[in-house]
Amino acid sequence: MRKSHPHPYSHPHPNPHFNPYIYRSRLHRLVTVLFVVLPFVFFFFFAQFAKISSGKLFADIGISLSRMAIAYIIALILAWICAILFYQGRRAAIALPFFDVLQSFPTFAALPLASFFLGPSNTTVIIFLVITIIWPIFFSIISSLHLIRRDWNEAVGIAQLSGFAYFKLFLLPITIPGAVTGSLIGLGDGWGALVATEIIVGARMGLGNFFNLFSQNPRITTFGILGFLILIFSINKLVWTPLLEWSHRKMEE
Amino acid sequence: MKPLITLKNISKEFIEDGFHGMTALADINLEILSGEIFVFVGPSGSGKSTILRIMSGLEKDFKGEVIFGESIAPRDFSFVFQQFALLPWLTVAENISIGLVARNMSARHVKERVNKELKRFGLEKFGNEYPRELSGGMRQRVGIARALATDPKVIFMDEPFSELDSFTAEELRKELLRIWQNPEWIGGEARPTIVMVTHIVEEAIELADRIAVLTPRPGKIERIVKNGLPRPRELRSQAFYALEDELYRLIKP
Repeated sequence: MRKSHPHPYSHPHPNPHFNPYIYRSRLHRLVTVLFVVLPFVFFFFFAQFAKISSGKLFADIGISLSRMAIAYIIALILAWICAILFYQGRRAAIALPFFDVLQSFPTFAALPLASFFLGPSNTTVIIFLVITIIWPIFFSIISSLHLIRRDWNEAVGIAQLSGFAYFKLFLLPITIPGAVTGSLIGLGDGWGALVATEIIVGARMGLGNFFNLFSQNPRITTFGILGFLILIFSINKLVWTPLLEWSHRKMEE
Repeated sequence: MKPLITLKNISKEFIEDGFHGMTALADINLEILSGEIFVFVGPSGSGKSTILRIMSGLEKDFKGEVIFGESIAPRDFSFVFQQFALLPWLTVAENISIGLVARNMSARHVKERVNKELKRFGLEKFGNEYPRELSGGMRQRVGIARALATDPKVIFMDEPFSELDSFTAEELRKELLRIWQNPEWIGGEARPTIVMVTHIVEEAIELADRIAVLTPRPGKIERIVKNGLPRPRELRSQAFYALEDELYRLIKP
């Protein structure tokens, strides 16, 4: 059965234990489905256990995930543009120390003030999430850009690649490994910041609201955190691990 | 005959420790003629690669003047790199195509041209592979195919065969000569001009119409030797050996 497939890679994988057939196997599909279903099943039973409506719980999770997704997309685009603009030359010498200081800005110190002016709105939460997520993505993309070899640049220069083609064939692929690594770290910081921001701002919906509501109940809080971790584990396995592997493999010489 | 590229009083200094300069090239004067194969030989440190980089526009920081003939512009240049300079995230076919994409050729024409180059270099089966999956010889075939795809009038080659084993190098030199002698294969009417750098004297004699011998510290042209040996060149003839002896006498380490 296996032998009838063409070998997916004609070149040995750097990890000797890596089985190239794994992504085509029934086991892999089964595990994938499990990762998709597991968080839902957990939260469903959790809602029964905590005697809250599962609709409210899924709405809270959905709203928090949406805030995160929007903040992440904004952060990714901003980080990418800033990295391209400021990664080299005189601009880098001026901008990078400035960004490094900004990175250390104590976000939560300014949060109560911001929520006083902007209210407990989605905007407030998203702005503060962006400020948290953006830095690892930005600095990882910068370090990706520093891996550009001189002769790659020269080959592209001699070919006179410019404009959209330069973006698509050169800049974008080169920055993907950094963007993926940075996203992994940034979102890691982001999940923590998400709950904290929602609690501090006093958002009426979302996981922050949920944990705030059950702050006196250690059992529900513990199981809630467990469910949260299962969700993040699933997202990592389904999205980030494959992306990370793929992006680094692409850059291999 | 009007020269295609004229170098006037070219000199180049590298700043080594921030204060003291190292003179890489001193007062280079030279004319490259249309359709010839011009080869620089010299030991390392004689600045031969630097001259090539200045002529091709890759090096912009130098003193003196580079004058191009009326019929050529930088878009007529291509460059073959010592370490191939293939972009690892692009397939072989995509690597060959970058110059064509940059020239806004339609997708159909790009594909046609790329297929032509793949066929010429025996790479048909490897179009969808990545450079990491190819041997050194195959990679440099891709490098040369990429350089020829844009119908260049001038091909700069920086030690293109020195990373390859001697058999592969010999085969590729023969292929290059065949293409140079049949310019209609790459869509040109006149022979392309080839300006090459090497540290292998035999390679210079096999290919060149004229050979510039460089001496190091500072890089200077010792002499330009005309190579009148008839083509195809007999590598074991008396005349070949005599020219080899003459060049070795000129090259001072």
